[in-house]
Order: sequence, then structure tokens, then C-alpha cells
Amino acid sequence: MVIKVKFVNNTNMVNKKIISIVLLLLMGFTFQMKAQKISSEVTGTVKDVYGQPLQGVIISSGDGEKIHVTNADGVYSFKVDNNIHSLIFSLLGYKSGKKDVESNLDVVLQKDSHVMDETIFKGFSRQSRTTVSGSIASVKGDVLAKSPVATLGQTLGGRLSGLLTEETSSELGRTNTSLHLRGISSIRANNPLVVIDGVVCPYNSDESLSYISPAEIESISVLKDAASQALYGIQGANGVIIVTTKRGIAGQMKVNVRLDESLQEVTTKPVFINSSEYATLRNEAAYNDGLGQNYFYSDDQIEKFRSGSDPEHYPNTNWYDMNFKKLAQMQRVGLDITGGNDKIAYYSNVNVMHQGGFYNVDQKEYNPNNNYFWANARSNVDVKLNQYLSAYLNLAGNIKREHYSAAGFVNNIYPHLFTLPSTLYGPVTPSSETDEGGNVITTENEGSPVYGLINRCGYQNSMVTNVYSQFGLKLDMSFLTHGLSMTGIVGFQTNIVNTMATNQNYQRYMRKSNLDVLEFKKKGTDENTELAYSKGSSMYNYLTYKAQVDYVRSFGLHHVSAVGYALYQNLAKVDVTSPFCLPYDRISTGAEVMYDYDNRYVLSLDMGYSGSEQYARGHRYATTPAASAAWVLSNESFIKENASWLSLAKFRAAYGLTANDQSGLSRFAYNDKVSVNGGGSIGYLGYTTTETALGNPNIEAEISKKINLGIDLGFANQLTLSFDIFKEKMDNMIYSNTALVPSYQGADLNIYPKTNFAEFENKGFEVEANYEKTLNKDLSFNFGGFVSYNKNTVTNILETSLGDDYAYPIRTEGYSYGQTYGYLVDYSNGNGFYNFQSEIDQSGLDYSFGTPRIGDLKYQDLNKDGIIDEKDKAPIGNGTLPRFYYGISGGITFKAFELSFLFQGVGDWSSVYSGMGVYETDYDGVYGSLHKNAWTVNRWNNDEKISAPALSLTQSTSHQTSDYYLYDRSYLRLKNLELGYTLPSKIAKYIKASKLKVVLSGQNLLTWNNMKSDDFGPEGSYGTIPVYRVYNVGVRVQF
Amino acid sequence: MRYKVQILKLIRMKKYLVLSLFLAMGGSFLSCNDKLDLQSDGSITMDGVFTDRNRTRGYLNACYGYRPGSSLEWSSYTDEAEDCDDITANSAYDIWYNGGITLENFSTYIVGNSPWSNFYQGIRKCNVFLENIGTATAYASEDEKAGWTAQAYTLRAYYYLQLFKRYGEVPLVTSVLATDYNYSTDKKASIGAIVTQIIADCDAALAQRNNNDAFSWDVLDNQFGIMTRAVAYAIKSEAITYAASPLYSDGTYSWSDAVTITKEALSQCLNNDYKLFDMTSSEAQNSYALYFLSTPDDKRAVDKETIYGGTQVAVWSNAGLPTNDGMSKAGPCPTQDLIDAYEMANGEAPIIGYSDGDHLKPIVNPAAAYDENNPYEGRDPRFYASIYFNGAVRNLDDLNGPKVATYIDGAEGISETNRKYTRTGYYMRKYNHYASDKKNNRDGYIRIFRLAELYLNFAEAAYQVNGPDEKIDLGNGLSMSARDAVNAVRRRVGMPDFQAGMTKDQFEKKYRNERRIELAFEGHRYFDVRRWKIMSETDKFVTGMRIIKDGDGYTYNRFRFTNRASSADKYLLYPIDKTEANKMLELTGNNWQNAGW
Repeated sequence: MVIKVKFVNNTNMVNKKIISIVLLLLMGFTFQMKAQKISSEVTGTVKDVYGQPLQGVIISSGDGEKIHVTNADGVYSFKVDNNIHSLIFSLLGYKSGKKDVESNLDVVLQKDSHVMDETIFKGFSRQSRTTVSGSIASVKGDVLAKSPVATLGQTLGGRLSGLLTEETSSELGRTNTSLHLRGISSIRANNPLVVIDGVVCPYNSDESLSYISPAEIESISVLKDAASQALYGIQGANGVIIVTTKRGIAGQMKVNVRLDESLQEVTTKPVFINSSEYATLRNEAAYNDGLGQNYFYSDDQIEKFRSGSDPEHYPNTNWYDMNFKKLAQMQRVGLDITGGNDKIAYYSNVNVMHQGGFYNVDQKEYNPNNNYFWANARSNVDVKLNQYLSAYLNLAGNIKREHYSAAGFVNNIYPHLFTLPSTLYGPVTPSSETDEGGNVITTENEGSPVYGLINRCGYQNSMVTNVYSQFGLKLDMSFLTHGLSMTGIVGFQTNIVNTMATNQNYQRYMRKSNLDVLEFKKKGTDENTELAYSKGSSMYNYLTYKAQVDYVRSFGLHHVSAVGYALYQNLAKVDVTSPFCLPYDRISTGAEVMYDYDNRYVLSLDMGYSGSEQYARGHRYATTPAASAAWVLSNESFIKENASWLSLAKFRAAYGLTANDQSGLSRFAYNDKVSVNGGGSIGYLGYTTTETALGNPNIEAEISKKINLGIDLGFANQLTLSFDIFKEKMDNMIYSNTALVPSYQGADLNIYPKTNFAEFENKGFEVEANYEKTLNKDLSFNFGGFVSYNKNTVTNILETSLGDDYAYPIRTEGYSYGQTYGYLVDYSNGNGFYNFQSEIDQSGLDYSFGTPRIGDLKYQDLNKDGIIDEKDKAPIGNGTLPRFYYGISGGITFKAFELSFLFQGVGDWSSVYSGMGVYETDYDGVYGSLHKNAWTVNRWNNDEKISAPALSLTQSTSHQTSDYYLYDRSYLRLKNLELGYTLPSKIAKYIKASKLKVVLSGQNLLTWNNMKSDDFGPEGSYGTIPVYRVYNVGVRVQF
Repeated sequence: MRYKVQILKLIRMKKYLVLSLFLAMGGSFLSCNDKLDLQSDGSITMDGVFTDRNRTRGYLNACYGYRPGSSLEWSSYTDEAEDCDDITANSAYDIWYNGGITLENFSTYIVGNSPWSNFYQGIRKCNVFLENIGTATAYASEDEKAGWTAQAYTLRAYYYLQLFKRYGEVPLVTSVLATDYNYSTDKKASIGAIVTQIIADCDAALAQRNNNDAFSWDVLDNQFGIMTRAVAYAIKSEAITYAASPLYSDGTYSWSDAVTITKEALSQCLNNDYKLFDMTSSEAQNSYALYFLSTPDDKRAVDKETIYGGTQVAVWSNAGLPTNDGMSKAGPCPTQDLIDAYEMANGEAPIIGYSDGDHLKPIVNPAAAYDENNPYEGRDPRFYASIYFNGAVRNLDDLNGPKVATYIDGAEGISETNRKYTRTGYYMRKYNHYASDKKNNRDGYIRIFRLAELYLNFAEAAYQVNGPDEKIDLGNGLSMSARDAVNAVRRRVGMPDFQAGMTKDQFEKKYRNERRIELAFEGHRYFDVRRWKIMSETDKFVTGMRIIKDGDGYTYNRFRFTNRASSADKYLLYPIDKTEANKMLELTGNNWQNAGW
């Protein structure tokens, strides 16, 4: 054996080592440890104080090993080894009960609305909430599963304090939710690290999350401070999301079936500008541009549009309704099976999701409508090989079959629903005796008419196969010392995308300018083509090895636990070009020691030590220590005895370092990069050697120092309050420091290396409250929520002043990440527009970007130089991320009925909008609802409401970044509502089920916001697919 | 106590296997630096450049990549020309003439677009090359390495020459600065220090072996553009001439230093087969004209005057005659001031001054035989080679054919509204082949350095120190006075010699005029009027000639353009880029910006 170990030491291959270790473990102990213990039968029932049986109560040994679980009637029965003297009965929301082993043991569990006995999984170690000294929020999977949506990311909004979610793209089934934990820790909008079942998932974590259906989730925790992040070393600084999937527990086999049928509709729809309105607005814009009245359309023509008397020549085409369905369908079926005995426990799950199309299609040769079919399956199996050795296997497979228009996913198509005017005849040329017609109609300015995009481009099929698996062995080393164990894990992920695309082109036609005849002319050189087929594929894979030693032991009232781990990651990304195709490697190690005395005084020390290939040898590893402590005042006997109303009082403090290696650097940034090409200035020299990047051999991981202080309070076991304040500071942020590198040093500043010098700060607080009350055995309710606030500041990037003549010469330092600059509208005359020519003349202002007309915006000349230019720009809004975000949730259970709701919102968030639908000049004039009341002399004279500057056909001086276009994006949304009814058990028994429940649920049902128009919602823009509203009917059956 | 028991128990159990496992596991990760090292991936770092022959010479090639292009535009920024685009709103010339140049927009509107960082990038490349070539393990013969080294030294000198001509004092960087270099104590170097460095670099180059594999006088096949011994001498000659001039002189270098260096440069070139181009052909009026139509890229087989050649120009298109189909603009239009500067063929100046402030009333030199009503008769042959005037023969193969008509309403008539027509009454002819058109550009090449400049540089230094007529020993058996040097240039076009016995002042006036004429449109005038500090006079305004056809005759009416704001003193030197100056102010606490900006 020893010889074998030495051999292992001599090889460089980490993977071989770990596999060898695992094999050694297997060989060494499977055959050596044969000791068997005598066991005896234990049975009983677990109930609550109202005598209701409790299902799902986990029964574990004093060491924390899960043994069994109660069935629907609260009954348990199993054999227990006679070296186990006591059993712990635990259920989320109830105080755990510890009982000595007896053959017949009935247990009553007390409600614990503070949920302090909840076990929190931090990725490497588990901890009861009582002893958590850092800042962690968590949510159970069954809460997330209330949302009738297809991707896990969509379920998280409003559920976890400190986690900001933003649904940036809401295409059905392909939603992209960006996640930020406590805002951002550096000047890049990095997302948190995702850890799935203890294995970090550093690449495409958004996508990897979407491969897990909410039904598979046991719990999700977010690690918010240094005490909980330090172990993650160079990957921890942006926060960590711990995803834990369900596992089987010994007991009777349970089968859960879920059926859901959903209807979906967009939450917002831009206003339809009908053809007479469009014609009027076009004329108005032309008039403003000095082209006279009725430049495009005569009054007579406008009247024909209005009356609809001649729809062939004067149509009113609603391109949106023509091409886009009002409702789309989604079906989901889920099945999971869980159970096991004292040797093996399993959880298996299959989910199937079908998402129907949302276009009205008109193509006989093939179906270009989108159609998504996803299936995923998971099997988590735990096997107890012998007294000391156990193994587990997690196997998750995911198949996404997606069919969609060759024009791409909906975000490629959706904006074109608005680019064609309603005055345009369409969608295709009419047939006549001489011409069969059917050619796609568009305008000079629109090359991709929506009808063509949907129906004439071809289709694509793509299949995404994702396999995610983990194999682990755990050796209980209690033969060495009690409480010691060791675990080895091999995890891998393979992701393959195969796409078959068909493409075709089509002729475009334009209508001739004379509206009184229906004649068309061909546009451009595009011809109708047959479908052309092509295939593409991409893949990535990810391999990780982890070895971990755990020690958990109680010595009377002293509780000690410790973890040491080492983790190796090897990742091959999708990229096929050098240097991005080279594998990405990281090595992380860390150790944690936690100690508490009587659940009253808690101390935790953490240390991460990790490095990646991104840095040169001497700077490769980052050390991230952290220390935290907590005092649980409410566990002091003088509180317990004298102030029992104070059911929870806990003080937490944590300080430590976390690090980040995702700093926007080019690969191997410590190295120079040189390219050699043939030719050059002087022929005979033959080659030219170009430096394409200069290396910074000193570049290293960014370190964020984080402090967190928290108080948890509970009153009368009903009201729970939690406060956290935090501050994060990064002193070695990687940034380009060329602001103070002169050009005369001779290296092109564009290839000059970035360095660790900049500073960044992020601070904020979180408040959580929850009130829970059980009035009697039939009625209980809870009500709670959280508010998170965070504000980041770029404190130092060695920014140089733009000059004293700038109103704001320093534009990054002192502001939040993503600060926008623009002009401030001068509202001193009441409405901010130039209402008279004399007002323009008297202003004495020259605009550097054109000449203002009446009805254009009047900007403030902040530097008083008489010229409106870059120098007058001022900060607008407050950066990229909202500062406030909150969730309010609650529920009522009355007999068989359950009602739950979730409100979610953000505050202190505003952005400047531009582009199509905000400005009116794109394509042939795209008008949003605000443009209907744009500035005109008449509206001004008549004191009518004015909601946009004077329209124009081309860019006007009003089309500048200014606070006029600053939209308040704060909102409050009824994110989720679910009404459930559990049918009487005798009905369930008809189908041999133990429980039958029907649910009605909805997602994103109502949104309140302050947007300037209803054309688009606070999370999107005019041309992006809005957030969807979902209505769902579901059935839950348990066998 | 219980823990102690546990530990003792552990030791007694002697589970070496388990301990070994722990050690193996820990050891495997702690020794994992190798695992994270970049595996050989074919990428090249700077460490891998000077170990390889092709990468090493490729790096030298990159050193060449920052030479400024030669350009006709310089003329429009001087009294040589008024640009046709002065009528184009927000053109460089509109802005330049009308005082719209600011620190922010300077880089957009000056020739070469603020080349500060460009030249310093070239200098850094040379520094990298010079620091590494000595220890380079790349396969190359000692001769080759010597030649490459010399080229890098010469290039660095050339870049510093370009920098100080434009910016005056600049920081002197002769080594590669590390990324953690502290700039806070940096200072701009004096002109003296910069020129000392330039001369030292050129001498270091010239000290390298002299043969065809190393640093040679010759330009071999495929070597057009290479730095040669002659270029190193030319750089020294120009640098010292500038350093001794009023604008740049800081006392470090005197005119007698300039004599020493310019005479060496001249005599070395003359001794190594450099001579003024003296061939003729029916394609050009005289050898001077033919020179500027010929290509310098001939391995010095024919053109033995060019020391360093520039790029081919397209006068026909960019400064052409509007009657040439496909031309784009009239470009730099020669001014009446320049026309007046061309002597009569007898060597007399036609005009010795103006009786009015607007330069509209010339004082005609009675000795000149200049006829104000027939002003283009009997002039210096270089006039005919360089200027299209009203009545000039259009096509040299058709002497009785079309004549250039710049008179009002003529085919090439003066215009104030159309950029294709002359603004002054003249078009540029230097470099222009009469047969160039959109099908075939036969126009010639601008020279960066040529032997005539070396003659003139020597003359300029020599008359300052020794007067016009004193013979100076050039070495190599040659001796020459300032006057001899100028005369050598004049004789090529058959202009009479300068007379002996002129005073220094008389000679200076004639010399400066000679330099203006000989080097017209070659980019010298811009710097000459600055280093002589006469820009405030010469560039204040320019004049043109409006010609009215009057039956068979013409009436000549001089007119002046509005004052040029660009004659202000701040235009003597380029400004340092605003961001660069701001950085240096912040880093050093000193304002590096040039005066007036």
C-alpha cells in the first residue's frame, strides 16, 4: 500500500491520484472492515401539537446520519443499530426532537417559526441555522416549484434576500435571468458562482441552472459574506449560489406526479399606431423638418386610411396581430420516485416540458414556428457499501430539442413586428392574372420584414444534450477517531449542441408610391431560393475532482466541526480558437473549523487557498482567510427563564477576504503575446513581428475584503426579524491604468497590460421579516418579506480629469458602475421645449450636434460657455443595477386549501432609453404611444398634453442622451400566486393515490410601475420580448 | 483529557496507511503549480523572439513601421500654397487658416495626425531590439547582426529627429520602461540632449561593419526603404542644422558644430557615389523636373542623388488640373509669393519687396528684366518644372498643344467655390507627369533625404561660421565654400552661380530663397520658416494672381487672402496631446505643454 502511495506521489496527473486514492479506499476497507452490528426494530408516529400526523419527518442518528423518513400518516418503522442510543426527529419549521431509542416511540414536534434547526448546506459543510455566523439566505425547492415557469432562474426572484434577479430576455422557454448577489463586487457585472451538489460550476452557470427543473431542488442557499465565501477562494467574491438536489431517504417508496397546463401572454404590448395616425404623424414630422404640410399624405388620403373605405389601396395593417399570437401554450409533466432502505436510497425524477409556438405562420412547405421539447432526468442514488464506506451517484441528463425559425430565436424577430408602417399593404403581393403574387412586401428601409423572417427564412432544429454526473465515495473513519470522514468526488459535465439549419432567401417587393394603384416593384437582388441545409455543432466539457475530510464531533456542550478540501477543475470551453481552446484549470484548497459551545457561542475560521492558470507562478495563488462569530443570546438560560417572549436573539459578525479571478483579462495575461507574419515594410527582412499584448507578470486575483454584521430576533415564536449590514472593499481591482501611463513610454496603450490597482466599494443592508401563526389545526398563515439595498462605488481607477471646462470632469470615480452621462433638460420655461423661435434665439446656445428647432429640447448649459456639447453632460440615473429590491410573500392554509403569493419589486432604478420606439426615426418612422402627443404648435397653443419633442424624420437635437429619456424602472410585481386544494383522501384513493391536489397558479400577474409609457415594461425595452404572464392549472398526485 | 486519549489511541493504532493517504492527497494538490503552467501552445512571448532568426528580423521590420508617410499636404500649411479646401467648411485648412485649432482638435487637422505616440512606439521597438540583439541567440551572421543593429540605431535617431522637429523638447527614452516604471521624476530633455542622442545613435550605427551584409552604402535588391550609411549621415546633417537654428538652439550646438557634421555628411556621401541627378529626357523640361518623376527605387543604379526616398504621389489627382478627368481636387495651390521667389534665369530676383503691406504692389528688381505683364517669361528652370501657370504647355509631347488656362473662366480658371479649381491662379507641377491620368499614374516621388539638402545644410552652417566664400576642408580631398555648395545645386539646372563677395546677410537672403525654391513642395518649408523664426512674416497671409483674359492679352491682378491665424507663435511647435500633457501634469506636477497651447 505504501509503495503504491509513493507511486502516486511521483505522477503529475492529479486525476490519476484521486482515482487511485478512491480505489485504495475501496480496496482497503471493503474487505478489511467486516464488523456488523446487531439491530433492533423501532416504530412510532410523529404528530404536531394539534395531533395532525407529520409526513416527511427525517429521523437521524445523533451523528446526523439520516436513517428514515415518516410516511403520509406520520408513521415510521425501521431497524436501528444498537450502538445508536438516541434519534433526532426533524422537519423544517419544527423544533427538532431528540429521543432515546425505544422500541415504540411516538413523538410530538413543536412548531419553530424561526426555522433555527434548518440544516444549511454551504457547499462544503453543513450547519444548523442556529450556528450560522455569516450571512446566508435559503429557500426550499417546493417553494420555487410554485412558479409555473420552465427555467429555474425565473423562480428565484423575490425569494432570497440579497439576490437580485433581472429577467433580461423573456422568450418563452429561453428566458435569461441575470443574477447578482449583493450587487457587484468589482467594476464588472460578474454573476455569482453556482455550486451544484457541492461541485462548483464555473462555466455557463446560467445555462447549467436551466438544466435543473425546480421540482428537483431540495434547497437553494446564497452565501453572501466572507465567512461563507472564503472557502471558495478565487471564485467566491461575487457570491455563491448553492443548489442542492433532492436525495432519497429510507422509507416506503413515494411517487409524485405533476401535471401542468399553462397559457402565456406578454405583459406589455406596444401601442398600435393605425394607418391614419401613422400618416398624420409622418406628415407632422415632415412639417417639423421644414418640408411643408402634407408632405407624405394628403388630407384626402388620411381620411381614406381613417374611414377604411378603400382597404386595398389604403389599408390598416396590424403587423403585430398578423404575425404574433396572443397566447402560447406550455405543458409540463413531472414524475419523481423516492425511497430506499438501510442500504440504498434513491431519488429519481423525469420532467418533460413542451413549449408551443407564438407566431401565426403561413408556410406550407415546412413549419417555421417555434416548438421546444425539453426532457430532463435525474437519478441520485446513495448506497451504503459497508459499515464505513458509502457511495453516491448523481446522474442528470438533459435533452432540449428546439425547433425555430432560421431567423433565430424570438429576440431576432420580435423587433421587426414594429418596423413596418400600418399604411403598408401586406404581407404579400396580391395575385393577378399575370402574376401569381405571394412575394413578401417591405419598405426601402426594412430589409427583414417580419412576415419574411417568420415564414420565408427556413427553420432550424437544435438539440442540446447535457450530461451532468457526480460519483462520490465517503469513508467513515470513526475507527480512527469518532466523527472523522473522508469523501472523494469525481464530477463531469458534457454539453453538446447540434444544430441543423435550413436557410432560404426570398424576393422582397415594395409598393409603388402612387397609393391609388396597387402596384409593386422588386426590391434589391434577393431571389427566392430552395432550402439550403447546413449543420453545426459545439461542445464543452468540465471535469472536477474533489477530496474532502470532515470532522464532526460533540464533546458534551462543545461542538466541533472541521472541513479540509482540495478541488481540481479542468474545463474545455466551447471556443475553438487559440488561446481560448486551451483548457481552463483551477486548483482550490481550503479548510474550515467551526466551534460552538452549547449553541450559544459560535466561532468559525475559514481559509481558502486557490489558484488558476491565469496567473504567473509567483502570483498564482490567493489566500482568503475569514473569521466569524455569533452569540445566541436567546439560548442563554437567563433569557430562556426570564424572557421567553424573546424566542430568538442572535448577533453575528464576520470579516474576511474573498477573491475573484474573472477580471476581464485576456488569457494568460501574465505573458506577452507576439504574432509573426510574412512581409512588412522592408522586403528583405521577410517577416514582421508584432506585439499584440504586453504581459503583466504581476497580475493576480482580485481580493475583496468583506465585513458583515447581523442580528436575528424572534418574538413569541411567531415573528422573526433579521438585519444585516455589509461592506465590501476591493483594493487591488484589475483595471487598465493607462490613464496615468504616458504614451511616450512607447507601448501602444491599447495593448498595455492591466494591473491590480483600482479600488471598488460595495455596501448595503438587508432586512427580513416573517410572521407565522398557526391558529388551530385548520388555519395557519404566514406573512413576510425582505428588503435589500446595495450601493456600489468606483472609488479609484486613477481617473484623470477631462478638464476644468467640463461640468463633470471626473465621470467614473465616486459613481456607481455603469453611470450614464447625458444632457439635463432645462425646464425653467415649464415644459423643457423651445416653444417659440425667439426662445431659441434668446437662449444664445449653440448645439454642437445640430441646430434645435421649435419643439426640440432645451438643454442646460452647465459650464456656461454658450455651447451645448460633451462638456455639459451630467450624471443621469445611478448606474446599471437597482439599489433596492424586495420580496413580499405569504400564505394561508385553511383546511384543504392553500393560498400563497409572492410580490417582488425593485426600487431606485432608472435608465436612459434610446432607439426604436423611443426615438421615432428608425426605419420608416416607428412611433410609440408617447409620439402621438409630440410637440406641435397647436398642441402647445391649446395647452394639450405633450409627451415627446417635435417629431422629425431624421435625427434631431432632441435625440441625444438626456434626462428627458430617463425612465423610472422601479416596479412592484405580483410575481406568483398559487391556490391549491387537496381533494379528500377518499377521492384520491379512487386512483390509488395517497394525495391528490389541484392548483391554480399564475406568474407575473400584475405589475405596477412608473414607466413613461406602457409600450414596454421596466425590465425590457421597446424592441425586446417582454416578460410573460402565465396562467396555469396543475394537478399533483402522490402515490 | 479525553482528547489526549483519542490522540494516543490514534498513534497506537498506527494507521500509517490512512496517514499516507492524507499526505498523498495534500501533497498532490500542493505540488500542483505545474498543472497550472501554460503548456506549450504555439503562442510566442517576447522571450521567444530573439531566439529565432525570422522573428528577430521580423522585429526589426516592425521597428520600421512608424516612419511618417511623405505628403504633399505640408505645402498647404506654409506660404508655398493655399489649399483649395480652404473653402470647404471644417476642412483641415479652413480650421488651420482661420484659427480654429484647439488642443482637442489639433490631432485631426495637422499633417500626420499628432504623431507623438506613433514615433514613441517606433522608439520603443528600437529600444527593445537594441537591448536584445546583443544577446540574441537567433541564427544570424555577425555581419547581419551588425547591420540589423545599425538599422535600429538609425531608425531611433530618425524618430527622435521627427519628434524634436515637431515638438521641440521631448522626453528622451532610450531603454524599455517596465510597467511599474515611475514617471513622476521624468522631464523633457533639452534639444541639445536629444540631438546628442541622435548623433550618438547615428555614430553607433556608422561604427558597425561596412559591407553589403552589414551596414552598407548600397541598397540591394528588395531593400527599398532600408536604413543605409548615407541615411545616418543625412539624419546627422539635418539634426545639427536644426539644432543650431534660432528656434531650437539652446547653446549646446553652435553653427561651427554644424559645419563639422554637415561637411562630414556631405563629403562622405560625395565619396560614396552620391551625386546630383543630371539626366534629361523628353518627358520633363530639365533634369530637376525629371528627377522628381523618376523612381528612387532603383538600387541607386540611376538615381544617385536620393539618400532616402519617400512614396509616390498622385499630383494629377490630389493637386491636379481640373481638365484631367478623374482628378479630385486642386490641392495645394502655389502662391504668388512662391512664384515671386523664383529668380529670373539670369540669377536676379524679379521682385525685391512690396511697396504695400498687402503685397499687392511688387517692387520690381530693375536688373531682373521682369515684365509684370508677362511675368512667367525667363524664369529659373525650376519654376517651369514646379508650377503650372497660365499659358504653360500642358503636354510636353505636344508643345503647340493645349496651354494651361488659369485666367478667370479659363478651362483651369481660378475659382472661389470649387475645390477642383485653383485658388491662387497656379497649380502644382512638381512630381506631375503630363500623361498621368486616372488610368495610369506616372507621377513621381517625394524624397525624404537627398544630396541637395546636404549641400544646402553645409552651406547654411558654413556661411554662418566662415562666411560665403571661405573654402572649408571637407576631408577626403574635397574643399568647398558655402557659395560653392549652393552653386553646385544651382548648376544642375543651369542657374548662374552666386556672386562672390556677398556679405553674410546678403548671402543669407539668397541662400534662404535658394532653399525655398530647390526644396519646394518637399516638406521642408514648414520647418525652415519655424526654425528660422520667420513664420510670423512668411505665413501671415499669402497672395494669388487673378488673371483676366483681355482679347489676346491678359491683365494680371494680384490679390491677397485673409490673414492666417496659424502664423501665431504658438504654431511654432506642435502641442503635446492634451491627454498626454494632462497625464504628465498629474504625474510630475509640471506642465509639459508647449508655449501657447
